[in-house]
Amino acid sequence: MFWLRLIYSRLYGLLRKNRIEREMEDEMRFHLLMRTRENIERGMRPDEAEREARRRFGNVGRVKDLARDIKGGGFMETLLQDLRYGARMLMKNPGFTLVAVITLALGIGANTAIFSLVNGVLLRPLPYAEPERIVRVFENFKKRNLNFAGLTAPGFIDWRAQQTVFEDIAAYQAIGFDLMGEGESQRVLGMRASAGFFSLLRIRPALGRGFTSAEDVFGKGQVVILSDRFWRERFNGANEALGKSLTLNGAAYTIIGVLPAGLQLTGFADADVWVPIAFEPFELENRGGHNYQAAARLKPGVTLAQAQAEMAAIAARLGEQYDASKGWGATLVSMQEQIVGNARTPLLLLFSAVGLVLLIACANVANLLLARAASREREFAVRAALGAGRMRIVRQLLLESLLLTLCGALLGWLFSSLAVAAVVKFGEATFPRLEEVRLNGQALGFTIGLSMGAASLFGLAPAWMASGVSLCVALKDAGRGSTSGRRRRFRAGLVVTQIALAVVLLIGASLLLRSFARLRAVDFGYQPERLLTAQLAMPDDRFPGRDRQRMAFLARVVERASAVPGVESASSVLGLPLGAGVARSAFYFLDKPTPPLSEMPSAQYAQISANYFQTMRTPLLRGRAFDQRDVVDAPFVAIVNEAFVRAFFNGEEPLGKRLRVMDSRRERPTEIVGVVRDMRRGDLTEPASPQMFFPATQRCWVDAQIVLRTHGDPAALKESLRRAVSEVDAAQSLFLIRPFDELLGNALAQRRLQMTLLAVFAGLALALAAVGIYGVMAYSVIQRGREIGVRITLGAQPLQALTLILRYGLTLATMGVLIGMTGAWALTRWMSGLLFEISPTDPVSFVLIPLLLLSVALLACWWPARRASKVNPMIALRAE
Amino acid sequence: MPTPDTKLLQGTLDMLILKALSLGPLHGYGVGQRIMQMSEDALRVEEGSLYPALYRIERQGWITAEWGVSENNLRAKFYKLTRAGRKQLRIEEENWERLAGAVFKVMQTN
Repeated sequence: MFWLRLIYSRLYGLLRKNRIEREMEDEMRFHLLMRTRENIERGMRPDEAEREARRRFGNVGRVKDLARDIKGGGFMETLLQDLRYGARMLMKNPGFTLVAVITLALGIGANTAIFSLVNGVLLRPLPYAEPERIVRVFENFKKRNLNFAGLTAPGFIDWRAQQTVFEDIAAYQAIGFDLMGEGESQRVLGMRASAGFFSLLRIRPALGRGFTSAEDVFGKGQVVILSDRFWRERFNGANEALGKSLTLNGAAYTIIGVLPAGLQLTGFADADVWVPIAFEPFELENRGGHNYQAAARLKPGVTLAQAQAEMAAIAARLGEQYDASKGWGATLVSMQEQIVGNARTPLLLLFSAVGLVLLIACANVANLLLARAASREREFAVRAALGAGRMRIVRQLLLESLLLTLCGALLGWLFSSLAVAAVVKFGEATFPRLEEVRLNGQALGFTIGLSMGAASLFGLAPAWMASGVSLCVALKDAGRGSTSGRRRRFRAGLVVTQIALAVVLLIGASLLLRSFARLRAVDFGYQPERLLTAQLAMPDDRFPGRDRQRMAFLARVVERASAVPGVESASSVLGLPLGAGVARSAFYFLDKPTPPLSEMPSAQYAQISANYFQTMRTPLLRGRAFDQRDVVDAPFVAIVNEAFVRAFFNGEEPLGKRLRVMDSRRERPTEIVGVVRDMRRGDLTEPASPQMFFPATQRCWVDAQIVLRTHGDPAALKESLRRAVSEVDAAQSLFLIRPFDELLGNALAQRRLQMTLLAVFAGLALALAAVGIYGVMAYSVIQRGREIGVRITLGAQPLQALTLILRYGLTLATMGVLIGMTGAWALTRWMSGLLFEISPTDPVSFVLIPLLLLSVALLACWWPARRASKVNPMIALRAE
Repeated sequence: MPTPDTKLLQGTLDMLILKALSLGPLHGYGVGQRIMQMSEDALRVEEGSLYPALYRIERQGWITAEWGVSENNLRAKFYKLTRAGRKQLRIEEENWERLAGAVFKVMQTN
């Protein structure tokens, strides 16, 4: 505002004002000259004539002032006048101004903050060149309800060779590396990526070069590209790092490149080191291992649907060719959709919610303005009488609204910057790309646009109504301010709208709140308290050949960990109920005919130590737990969960049934020896799926997790656990040591955040609506003071006056509540995807919330109503 | 609205100025002179009112101003009635006649 005014006044002064001023002076000098001449003609002495002329003209400066007021009045000038006047009016009513500005600031601030989220998460393009052409490629198996499975190595090679729709397609896989240095080994996050990976993302190493296809071959892929961060930490950012060697999982890799600083690999793991995927021969033979992610860049002009069709055709062709590929199809999703798809509904829900809050805030300010306009009727009438047109008064009032909004927007911007910082800080694991969210120019533009919209929304109606008052009505009525029925109806309508909107918001918030409560009360099938988890990798370079060594090692680690003071029970598991990655395996029952691979059922797959269920406190329902009997040379055994029994046994006895599991131990028949309670997985909202557990003493992969049940705070034992493991083997690194609560918190984090935000918005709406109804009721008591006074004079009891006002208030509230309930009924179905075991028309919410609103309305009416009952008839009547 | 020493209502002064200019363009000094002549020296327009009134009317678009040369070869600003001003003058004349007639009637009653 300031610089605008400055520029304007400079320009105006230079180009226009001087000229006008000069002309005015010329004109007046001419006038004085003419008068002096005339005086001389009449016989005065020249000096006397001039003096008389001056005297007669009067104060030149004053005339000039007057003239300037009239003349200088270009659009900008009057606008500035009105602005100054408006600012003065706002300063004169600090109470009103403060309430209005804070109300607007809350509304605008909340909207700006949520817009920043929506913009940063949903709208902003991914940080890649032409990101709309980047897609994620998955395999699907519709019959097993798998939509986003990984690719197989030979499948990827075939797809890449046969496709014509992509510029390039690349496979990648996250991999943990033990980096050997001096002393203890360090765990680093690595990625295996096929040669086209960086080029299809249009990323060039800042130093050195990318992978060549010659390096993407088994035995040739001993090269590594470093992340900028890793390069700086490990090599102090020295160019000499190129060509040096890095020992990862016991093998030497030559450093060939460093990625650019500040590179955002949104949607991909933030790895420290990148190596060519260079599939090993056993990977290339495995058409059943869907272990690889893939990304591709569409050729220009090729649509997602065309690409989808071609890839589906290729997958179908391979299905006919290879038994293991039968039934597998291709799923293509745009990268953007893949990353943020799940965040869309909750964010749009929040966005609509803040929109409603702003509407309520606008209604409140409109209400305040109307009340104030009533007391300013005289002012407007007088101004109109002095020649101000209706448009001028409307403009004046709109300007005041705009001033209010600008103040509100400024304060709101402050609010939103705090809110965004808080959400980004505490919102870890809630929304994708959250760490990229900023208050930026777009948000500023949004805020400004929003403010203008809001100002005209709440300013226009009051301004128009106020400007239409006729002089005599206003002056006649001036003692108490006029109440045209029209205006009262309008204000009543505003209150009804506010209450209706608040009801919608509150019901929405209540549904989320109750869903969350249900979710917390869900029977996990285990006790999540006081658990510490840690990740362990036992790569082949340290356990070459036989699994027996690995099994023995893992058993030793568990044994050592359970001896740590403060540990109640220790166990190992691959396939913890929460956390990334669910292994699945196909299987079939040996007492039934062998189905073809594509028809085989599959179930989730876990490898556990004997006392895992004891540690997790998962009840064993039937049969036995694993024990010392279950070694590699003994018959293979399994425990299944209730969902498995429900899905596959149909009332038959599960214990003693034998199955063949299609993993690396498929040659050994496996017998079911026990049934356990279902353990909820993932985000807890999904019902448990069928799961098989195997003893880690019979099946043991590279990865495992250690789970400890502790006596006290699990986080306090992090170091003791790390020490215990390094006592078993100093070369063994342990990573992702976290209390289980944290994983659980992450699973619930998005729901908690959206619930908290919506609850805050709903609370805000409730408070604003309460203020709104209070304002209207208080005003109407003042307005009807005379009526009440007359009634009391004529013998009405104070109680009747009280009920008169209460009845009016409750009528409005009831109308608002009914409309709001109807609205909520129609709208809540859109959020059914966000609810958990709560119907979108949850009767509890639909009863309690209206009651809450009515009580608040009653409370808000109570004080004005009491004041009405205490009206002193003499004073009320005399006030006329 | 400060109108020192003026016995004229604001609207009336505007009308008189329009009337004065309806006979031809004049500079500000001339307008005052012509009103004085036309009223046979009964109405004396103060400069403090005249110029603001002129600017006001100019803003309304009823007159336009232009620099020219006066009868005694001085640079002066001349005002000229516009088409809208002519129309306005007619309206004001009618209103005035009606009002003056009414006031006259009132004053006639005993």
